[in-house]
Amino acid sequence: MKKLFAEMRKEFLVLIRDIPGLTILFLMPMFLILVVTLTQENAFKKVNESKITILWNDNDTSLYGETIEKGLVESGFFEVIKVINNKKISDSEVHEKISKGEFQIGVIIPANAAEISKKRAEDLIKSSEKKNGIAKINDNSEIKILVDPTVRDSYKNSVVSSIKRLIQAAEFKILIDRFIQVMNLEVNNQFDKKMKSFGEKDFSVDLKGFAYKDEVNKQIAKKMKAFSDEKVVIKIPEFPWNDKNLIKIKEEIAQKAESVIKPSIVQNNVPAFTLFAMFFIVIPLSGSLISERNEGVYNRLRTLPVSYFTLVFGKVVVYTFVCIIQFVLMLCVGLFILPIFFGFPALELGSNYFALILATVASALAAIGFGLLVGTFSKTHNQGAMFGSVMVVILGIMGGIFLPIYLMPESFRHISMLSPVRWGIDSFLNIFVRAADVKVVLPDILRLVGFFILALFVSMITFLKRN
Amino acid sequence: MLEQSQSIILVKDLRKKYKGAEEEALKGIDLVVRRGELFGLIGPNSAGKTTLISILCGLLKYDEGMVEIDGINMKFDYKKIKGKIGLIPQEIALHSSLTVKENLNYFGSLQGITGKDLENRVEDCLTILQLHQHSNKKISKCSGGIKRRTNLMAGLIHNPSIVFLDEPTLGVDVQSRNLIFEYLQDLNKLGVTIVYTTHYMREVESLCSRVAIIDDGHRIVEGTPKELIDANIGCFDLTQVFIKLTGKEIRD
Ligand SMILES: Nc1ncnc2c1ncn2[C@@H]1O[C@H](COP(=O)(O)OP(=O)(O)OP(=O)(O)O)[C@@H](O)[C@H]1O
Ligand SMILES: [Mg+2]
Repeated sequence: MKKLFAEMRKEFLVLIRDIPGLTILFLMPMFLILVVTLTQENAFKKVNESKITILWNDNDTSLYGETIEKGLVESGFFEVIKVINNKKISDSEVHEKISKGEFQIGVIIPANAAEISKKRAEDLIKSSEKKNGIAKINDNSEIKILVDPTVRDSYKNSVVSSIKRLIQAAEFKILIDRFIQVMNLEVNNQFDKKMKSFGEKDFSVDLKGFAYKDEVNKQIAKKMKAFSDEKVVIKIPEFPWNDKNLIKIKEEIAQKAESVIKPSIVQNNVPAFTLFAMFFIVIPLSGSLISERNEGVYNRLRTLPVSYFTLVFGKVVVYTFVCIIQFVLMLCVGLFILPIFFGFPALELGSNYFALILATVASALAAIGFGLLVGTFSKTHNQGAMFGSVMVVILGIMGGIFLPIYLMPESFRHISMLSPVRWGIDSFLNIFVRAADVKVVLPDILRLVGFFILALFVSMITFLKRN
Repeated sequence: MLEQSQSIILVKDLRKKYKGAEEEALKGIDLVVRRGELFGLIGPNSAGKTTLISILCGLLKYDEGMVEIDGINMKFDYKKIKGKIGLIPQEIALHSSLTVKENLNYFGSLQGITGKDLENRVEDCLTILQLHQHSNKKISKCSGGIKRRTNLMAGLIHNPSIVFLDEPTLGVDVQSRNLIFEYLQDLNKLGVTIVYTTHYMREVESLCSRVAIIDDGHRIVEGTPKELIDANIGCFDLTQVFIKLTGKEIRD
């Protein structure tokens, strides 16, 4: 029993004296659960209370667009944005903002929407009367639903289909209104004719609202009783049941004109997990630094006529290669393994190889910088490995590896900008999915390189500092 | 001053307190090492030997006093000492996943030795301490004695003119120890100044031309082994001198 207590006491003392270890044990999980829940909770909220933002440009400004807009807002799922910086947005702005990823969904209503929809409704009613099928639309006007290329399919499908449903509902209302007008006219015409044959004048039925054929005939029969026993049957137009939209809806991925890349889950996942992999070099890199320090090699190195830059540069070059190999392996998964063995669309690299190389090297440097920092501030291998890997997961979640940024809470989206993983993913996505050029990805690349330089600087100061 | 003109290492009233420590590790050390000496620095555990050597190598800052090595003021120009000195640290300062030979190659290259020179020098180092049969073993797989020997050669590969050895014979068998001593004496004959730290009194008695005893951050005494034994009546060796002067037993 005494021995057991001795062991417990020793273990307890060892544990409470390892303050960084305790921090990892207690604070990291708390931080982790916070980050994960904050992101997930909003994904949940998206469906329940918080709203999906839609860029909205109604070029028609008639009842047509208003009805759809009202439908969207009243559904409670959507927030409609028509004005940015006190200025009404234009079609090209909607396209631009979505292709850049500032917004995920946009809707553009064509200028003559009301007119076309009315005409189209009439055509439909007429054609159903003649029973010669659905009339063709000889008009190229269409409602455009623009989607950010990085948006996941499942999300896109559910949002777009609910927008389509709301458009259909609005159009149905237009169709019914039109139909009732037509029917009223038709019924009264026929009825009038009949009445005139009885010598009566100016006798009309008012069919308020939409009524079934039987109902109409019942009403007419009731009125007729006063005049004659003759059974009057009035031909009533068929309602043009139709599942087509009055105005064509075109769903479009907002991409640059020259881009041929089709967004897919592969296109989105390869950048995310490449970055994830790269940041995991924190474990060997920090391990190497910690070994050198703990094994006294540091002290020996400091008496040698060799600069810190030489020492670090050696590591940087090697680990940059490691990251490039990781990148190539991930590309292989996207280019060959997923399409050949699992039938996914193959990864497309875009056309800007220079930007791609730049983004890869910059991401590698940032990952190395992270490794240098962890290696500099961890005292033992355990600390480095544990802190490093949990931090990579946290940075990864923040950066949108597991849950896309657009599903995160507004406030968290800003926090996510602090994660170097996010900068890397964004630059890859810009190249892979948005066909961006160097100019577009440059800010993220500068951030990545800046982070590396900062980390290098910090680790250098620590190395050179004498006690 | 005659002493100063011959001296290669000059330490005056050196004081050092570690951050967060209660007591000073060095409490006013004075020391002179002459050019070409094999100088012994002896003292019990915690005396401050490693601290002193670290300051002499420019690894640690010091609070007060003066340290000059080969004319270099270590307060300001400590970077100039790099490459001139060879440090054999008390702990094994090697890459454990590299082999004996790879470690020697690595540290040799960082010293600026290249090509054929490096190859020859590594061969020499392996020969001197009979490391050949272990040369392709990873350090992590080597015995303690082989690690020590490699640790020693890694600090000497560039033929430094001043060498600091911090307890280089810990855990080394008698044969290897003699090998090391012979080599150090050879080096010394070539004019290399050697500062040798240990708490084995007997080692320094035969090896060193002069010694200093330090204890608890103070330099107790300095002189040739013979001078110290003669000056302390009733003492026949350095161990007895040490016990007499510090009132402590020294544990080998
Ligand atoms: N990094 C440190 N931080 C705080 N105190 C230290 C540190 N290193 C050494 N000390 C203290 O400084 C004093 C001198 O230590 P030092 O290592 O120089 O002794 P030493 O003579 O080399 O001993 P040994 O023979 O055991 O190697 C000791 O009291 C020790 O506790
Ligand atoms: Mg020591």
